[in-house]
Amino acid sequence: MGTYIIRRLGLAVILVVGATFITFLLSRIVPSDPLMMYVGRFASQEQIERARIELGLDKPWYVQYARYLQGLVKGDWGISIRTHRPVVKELLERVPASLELVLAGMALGLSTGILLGIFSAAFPHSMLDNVSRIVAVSGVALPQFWFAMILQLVFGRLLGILPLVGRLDLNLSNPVSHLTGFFVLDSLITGNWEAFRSALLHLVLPAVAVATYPMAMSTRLIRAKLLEVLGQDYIRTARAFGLPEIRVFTRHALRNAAGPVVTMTALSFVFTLIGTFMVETIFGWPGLGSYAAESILSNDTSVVMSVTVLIAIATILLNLLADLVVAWMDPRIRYG
Amino acid sequence: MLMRRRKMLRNPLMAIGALGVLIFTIVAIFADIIQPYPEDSKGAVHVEERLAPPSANHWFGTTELGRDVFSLVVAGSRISLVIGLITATAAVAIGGALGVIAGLAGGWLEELIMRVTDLVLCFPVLLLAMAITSALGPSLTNAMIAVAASWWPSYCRLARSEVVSVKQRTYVESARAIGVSWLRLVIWHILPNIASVIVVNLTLDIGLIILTTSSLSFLGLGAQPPTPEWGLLVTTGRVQFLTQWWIVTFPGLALFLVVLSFNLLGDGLREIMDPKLRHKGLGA
Amino acid sequence: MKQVMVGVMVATLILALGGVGVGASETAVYLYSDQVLLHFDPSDIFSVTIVWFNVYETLLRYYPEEDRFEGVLATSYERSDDGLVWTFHLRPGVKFHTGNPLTAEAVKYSIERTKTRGRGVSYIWDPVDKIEVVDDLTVRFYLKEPAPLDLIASSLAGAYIFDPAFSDHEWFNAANDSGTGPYRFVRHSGLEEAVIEKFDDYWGGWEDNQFDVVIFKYVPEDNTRRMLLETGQGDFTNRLAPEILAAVKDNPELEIVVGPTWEGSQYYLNTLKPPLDNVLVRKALAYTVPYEQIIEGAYFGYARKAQGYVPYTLWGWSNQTRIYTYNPEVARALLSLAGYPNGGFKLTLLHQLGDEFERRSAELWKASLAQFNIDLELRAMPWDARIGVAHDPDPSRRQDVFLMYSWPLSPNPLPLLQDMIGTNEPPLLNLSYYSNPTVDQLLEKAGELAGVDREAAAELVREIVNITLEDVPVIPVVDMKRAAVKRASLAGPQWAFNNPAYPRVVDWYHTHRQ
Repeated sequence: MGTYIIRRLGLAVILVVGATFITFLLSRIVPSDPLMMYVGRFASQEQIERARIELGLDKPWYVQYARYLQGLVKGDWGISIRTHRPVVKELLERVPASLELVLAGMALGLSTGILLGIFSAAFPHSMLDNVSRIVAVSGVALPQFWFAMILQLVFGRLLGILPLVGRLDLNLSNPVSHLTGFFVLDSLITGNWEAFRSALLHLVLPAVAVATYPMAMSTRLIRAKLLEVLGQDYIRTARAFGLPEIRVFTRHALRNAAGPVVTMTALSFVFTLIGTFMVETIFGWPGLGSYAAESILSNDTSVVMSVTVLIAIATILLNLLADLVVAWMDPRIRYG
Repeated sequence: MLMRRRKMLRNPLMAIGALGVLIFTIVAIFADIIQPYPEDSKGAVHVEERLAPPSANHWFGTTELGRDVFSLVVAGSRISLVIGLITATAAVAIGGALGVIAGLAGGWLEELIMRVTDLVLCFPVLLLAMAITSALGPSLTNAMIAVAASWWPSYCRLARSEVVSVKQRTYVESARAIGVSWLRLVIWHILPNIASVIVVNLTLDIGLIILTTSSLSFLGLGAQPPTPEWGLLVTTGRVQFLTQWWIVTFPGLALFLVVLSFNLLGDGLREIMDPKLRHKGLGA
Repeated sequence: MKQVMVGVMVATLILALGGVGVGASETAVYLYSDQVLLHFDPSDIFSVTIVWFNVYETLLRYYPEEDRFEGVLATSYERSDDGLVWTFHLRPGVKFHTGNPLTAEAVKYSIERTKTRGRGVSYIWDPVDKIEVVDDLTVRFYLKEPAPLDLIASSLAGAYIFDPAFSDHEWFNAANDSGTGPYRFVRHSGLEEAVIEKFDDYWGGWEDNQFDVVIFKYVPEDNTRRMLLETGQGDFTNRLAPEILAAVKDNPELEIVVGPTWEGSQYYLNTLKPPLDNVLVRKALAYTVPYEQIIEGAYFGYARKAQGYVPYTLWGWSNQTRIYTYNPEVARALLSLAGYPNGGFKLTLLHQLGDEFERRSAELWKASLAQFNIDLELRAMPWDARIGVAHDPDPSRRQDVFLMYSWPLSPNPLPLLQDMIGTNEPPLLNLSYYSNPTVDQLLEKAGELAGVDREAAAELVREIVNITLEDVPVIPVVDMKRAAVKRASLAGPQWAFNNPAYPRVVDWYHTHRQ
């Protein structure tokens, strides 16, 4: 097991370095003149030249890459060309909002998905099964940006029961204190009921839009896993012994299907996060996703690079985690 | 024959999916004839008729430049079909070729190719495609290149594992022993084996590829105006969509239904291929 | 019993009177469509000024529609006959927010610091050679060459006066200000929200009904801004998408503020790349643009056909400037003369990603060009990517047409024209790559005249524009109109809500709620 861990960790490190290189490469291919954005369109030639040196753009590419790596490790991820503020600071400001949304969406999606998957496996090929399978497939096929807009239209404009954009009402009498950055949690902790209600209402539609993918994934997976497990020999044995069906189902089938769900959750986390790019843009949710989307559209290379590297690292780590968990559970590797 | 019909009946969803794909293909092929206002999808403007709600003249209403949304949606189907086919083919070709090479060659070449595959897989597809497109410059072609460049890894892995498993079979060893060339082995034994797996994955992927490319267009990184690509239509209708809802709703709905059809079809095909999924559940 | 009732009545009376005496704090909310802040250092600020206009002041302010200067920190000024020496007399009794008084020393320091830092738009002070403190309230500028210093001192940025004793860059970045304006900076939240509050010792004094607090909020979604205005949670927004404006027109609680701006849109034609290197082709193209259709279809009526390169209401604009109209017959004739009787060529146009006005305008021109068998390929790109293409060292890889918004930094058309059509190497903003020595000479001459005889300078500007329009390297399209929305209860003069010289700025001090 030890050697396996070391090997996987080593691989992960190589991948991270590779990821930074690819990101750097992409950012250098961009046909852009970031200087004119940095100093503003009225800048004089001297100002532009000065900015070029300031941003380190006068050095050859390998020097720039080396500096970039150095900065990454030290925690200096560059300055946003658009806002002139350190990228790390801006990322940290935005991360809580995205986390709140992703976690809410995943919780919603997973819980509904798992329930749906269980019932689907219990009554295969029934009406319920078919409906849940359409729902599962729809969750993956749904254009999230469009679905988000439809939700806004129906619940925000036509029915008028939920807010259109943002995380909070703009004129709360008592602003929310920033404890965790999760407004729902913060307002709960401080007993600020007006803010709590506002934060919760604002979270509903975006979370529903984000939940579509995890719901689809978990329904499908649970159903498939359960059916597979239910076809195993030991299940038939249990039934032959006269165990009640419910016992068979819960004690044995579910327990065995649980493992892969955990891995799937970890792996789909990043995919769901990417989905929030568009959901955040539509709902004006001030998180990492809308920040990344704005930055990509204005070619703010330092930000785009940072977000890309961040997400790549997250993917690598989560994959590593998932692999390690699977390996730990597999006795061949654990004791091999 | 009976078995197949029973499979079909047992899987009405797959039938629906197949029907959807069929309709989509027909509409795409005959788009020029089906559109009531074909000049609108080529860039014509009718400012006097702008922002009209759905009516008998314009089933899906008109855009802010007066174009008939129904015609735009129909024209968009052809674009989506082309996007799906070309990009998917490219991804399969690149990934498949690399995978076969990796599987056959073994050694350091296989290691190298598989590590590069791992590397590309570290980036979520949409993110990588966004980065590549903004590096190359926004255009539909570049978006398709970006999506293909992000999509090939899964086919590479697929191809390689198939090749590796076939390689180990004894009949291959015997064939090699008597001097059969690798090329013949690849064409006559390896490819037929992976074909069915690839077809199933492809069916699922075409829909998702169309969705990803449309997402890029939605962000402004893909198709350029006045191309009637569905993602682009949704984004140009976005500002006023709370009052003029039709510009966003119909193209998005078309996109959803098409991707759904491909997914249902692909899912059904996969179930047929995979015996483990065909069990009876409770009370066996 | 009677005593209790009297007691209650007296108590109620006292409470009521007490209530009358206590005034509720008047707050105004500005809903902005973009980030409300970018810089904190008054020497560096060059773009987003909606907050800082109310916090920092300049020597003078300019009101173009009345063509007059308002003395803000300077009550009067004189200029020597050769235009090289300008003397400003400062207003007495002005205090900085820090408590220190405004002196000539402070003015000299502020401007010199801005020049030395060399950031933002500090180069507007380039013509200044030396600044002399004559006495506490008099400051004298010596120029290297004649320049319109009154216009420069009225610039929308780069001309702020602040307290020398409180001018550390880091101090500014910690959200402090040392201005003289009616409001002082209180706090901000990222770049999305800023709050300013009344400065009691403001030299202009205060009335009861003015605003005590102004909040600036970044609300990117048009529909949200509309909703907030309708429910009274916002008082003003700088713009709403024209489709939404139509719906807002009928609401009696809201008012659309329409006025001219100096923001114009032009098509820059690449004069170095065939077929656009042929002046006949460029002229023909100028007749193919569907101007009226663009005003209606792209701007929904909130624009004015541009006449020349100088925006309407800025001096230098003239009714005598040559104008191109949509005229297909003339266009066809010119194309034939140029050797393209049936069109048959392709042009690439770069426009701003995400800007709906530019996109619609470009699409309308594309549709028009189709009838001449000219294929206009549209490419939406982010600003710096477009500039990257336009500055490509290999000229053959550059674009054919660049759609640009232009606006002047100070109430002076000359730098604008210099940027647009003056010979610039590297091109910077001259993206038609036009170079005409006559024009360059005249621009220089006009620059010298501007500081001495503005009438003569304006005449010269007209001549320059007309000469250039003969070559038509740039096709002027529209001057945009401001279509801001405010609550009807928010009152004030028109110029407080829209002054082309200070785009998107609201002069909150001169407004009140009624």
